[in-house]
Amino acid sequence: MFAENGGNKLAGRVVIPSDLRSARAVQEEVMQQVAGRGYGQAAQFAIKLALEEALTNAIRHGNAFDPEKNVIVEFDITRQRVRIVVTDEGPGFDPRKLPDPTADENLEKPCGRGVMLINAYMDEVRYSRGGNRLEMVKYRCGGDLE
Amino acid sequence: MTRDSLQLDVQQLDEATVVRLRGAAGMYDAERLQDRLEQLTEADPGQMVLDLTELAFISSQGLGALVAVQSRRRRQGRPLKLVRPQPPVRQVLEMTRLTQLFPIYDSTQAALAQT
Repeated sequence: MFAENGGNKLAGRVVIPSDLRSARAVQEEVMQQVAGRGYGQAAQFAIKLALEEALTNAIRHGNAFDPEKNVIVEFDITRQRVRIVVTDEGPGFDPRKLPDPTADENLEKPCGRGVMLINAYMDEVRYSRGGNRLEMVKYRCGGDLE
Repeated sequence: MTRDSLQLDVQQLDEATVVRLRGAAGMYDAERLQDRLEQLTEADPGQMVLDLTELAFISSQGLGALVAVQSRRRRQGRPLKLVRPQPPVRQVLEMTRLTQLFPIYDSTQAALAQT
């Protein structure tokens, strides 16, 4: 899954089926590598949360658990930042059209909370290919050094 | 970070059910969490307190499970009460404004004292 590059950069690409067990395996593997690069607890929480939300959206809403469709997870991890790209094979979506999950009338609805958390916890978030491809970046803060 | 697993320890008191959540309430355990809390609600419609002291992680799926149970319990007039969410989990609750749905207390005693 991983390839080292000169001891600084750890990069990988993995294709998983649309099921949560596979998603969890990828999440755990990525998070082990993030922890191994010395990121602090706050950054680990943020990256883990954003990755989980991205995988959940790709599998549940993108591919609709279709066993014929895959999710591609690409990542590169340096000591300065973590970059993760999640791509699904679903119909895509426009994140700008999601309802605000923090509005009073939406608090009890399940829609939009994951996308909102990704935006809140990651430093850079970009959607492309009609919403099928999500790229997100988390930079190391000074307080993360361990 | 802890591994992605969720433990639920249930303590049945005279006046309430106290459920201690440990580990991670994420995509893999959300459905089980909701099912268990709904079972407990059916078995005992009294007060229910969720002790989050040892809950290290929660995602939108875990939140969704809690919200679904809370919606039902609020209609019954017995809302879930949360106790001692740790800073990362509390931040998620605040950021999503779910603190509007869930009363939060510093201790189980304080939660049970508030009717």
